[in-house]
Amino acid sequence: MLLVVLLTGLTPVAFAQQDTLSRHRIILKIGRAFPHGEFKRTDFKDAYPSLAQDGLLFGAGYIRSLHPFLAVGATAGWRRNAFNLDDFIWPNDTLLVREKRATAWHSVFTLADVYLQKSYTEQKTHNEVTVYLRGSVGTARNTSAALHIRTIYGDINFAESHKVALTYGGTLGVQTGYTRFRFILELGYLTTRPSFAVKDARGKTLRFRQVMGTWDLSAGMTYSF
Amino acid sequence: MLSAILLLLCLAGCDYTDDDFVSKYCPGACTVLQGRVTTANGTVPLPGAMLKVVWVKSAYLHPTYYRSKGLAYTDANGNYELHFLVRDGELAGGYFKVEVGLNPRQYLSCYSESHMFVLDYVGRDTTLVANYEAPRKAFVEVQLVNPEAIGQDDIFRIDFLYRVGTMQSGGCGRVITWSKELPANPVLPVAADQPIEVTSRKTKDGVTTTTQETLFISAGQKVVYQAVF
Repeated sequence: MLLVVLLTGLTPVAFAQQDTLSRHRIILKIGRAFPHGEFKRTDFKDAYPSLAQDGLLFGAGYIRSLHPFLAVGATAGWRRNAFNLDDFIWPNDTLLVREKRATAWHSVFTLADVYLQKSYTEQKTHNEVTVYLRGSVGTARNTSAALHIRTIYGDINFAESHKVALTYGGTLGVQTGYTRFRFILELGYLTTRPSFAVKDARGKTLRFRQVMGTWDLSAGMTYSF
Repeated sequence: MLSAILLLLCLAGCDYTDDDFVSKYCPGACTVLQGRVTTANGTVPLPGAMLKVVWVKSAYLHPTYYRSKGLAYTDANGNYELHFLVRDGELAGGYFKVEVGLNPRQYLSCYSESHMFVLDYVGRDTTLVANYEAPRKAFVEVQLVNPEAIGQDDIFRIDFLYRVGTMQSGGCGRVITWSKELPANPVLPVAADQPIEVTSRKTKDGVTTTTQETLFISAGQKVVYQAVF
């Protein structure tokens, strides 16, 4: 109890002395999500092919600094990875396949974040550079890729499936600037492992667990207040 | 000249593999392969065994082409049903084999390194039935009691035959043959928990005599079989 009182009492004093990190920040970012491992490749033994391609990533968040070296926050985001039809259907299979289309894998996630951060201020320009490590855990609503393949013998149809699953990841980031608006660059990994139940056109259900892990490279802005 | 030889060796030794996902999720005109995978002479099912159909095409001094066509797992009763689509080119040449995902160290096979069988008469819109027997291993140590009785031109052969694989293959077994050059007492892996047909053929002075008996050995056990010429 005494420790909590001391920490909360000391915090305003720390920020007055170190105005390098404002207490509150809003973050907006955009980037690319690069699928990794089982999410990118598929094995013939897999119940359902993953074959995810590089895709888009959007995120928005809030950060509250508790200490010059510690912050907490929350992030909401969306990640979309297209399905690689050229690896699923041979490109020269035109005699058999008449039509092919697929929707993308995507995830909408909400995360609780913890930051370890360290700032450095350049003397001449007063430009502040903050390096941070973020650990995140939360949930994601994931959607499987739907497939529609028309062949001369009939159709292959798999509908979308939705599943909420635990999501976690880690990020290394850099923030730089000297105004309330600052630029950020992040490299991180985010993964989730939903269990999907996908129905085909005959009503048969395929049940499988899909690892959806991506390496994420993103850039964005923070606003401090 | 050397580079041409190396190229030929490479072509002959390089294999190509492919995955046919259209076949795996067969849209229509499917070939259906169904059956049961068991051990202990068909009395004990083997659940969770993977069966994969592969189309194989090979030719002399050409790379071998392997195309995965379909996949299924046995259920709690050892039953499986596998669907795949046969393409026109596959009907024209090559053959279809089925790889059974069982450990050859644990279960006896006609092929020492793997479990597999070949499909006959594959066509579209047809159903094939293949029940696969994978016996667990038992061991027979064969002791020749009277090696001095085998003459220069005499032959002594013992066949251990049992049910393994599909009904089409009819099973396979182990054969041991003695002549003047005598092997040491061999220990042969044989099928456990099912009848083993032992046939002895003795050829002495140009006359062949055949005797038969049946053995039954439990899994993991080793028995000594005394062979008398």
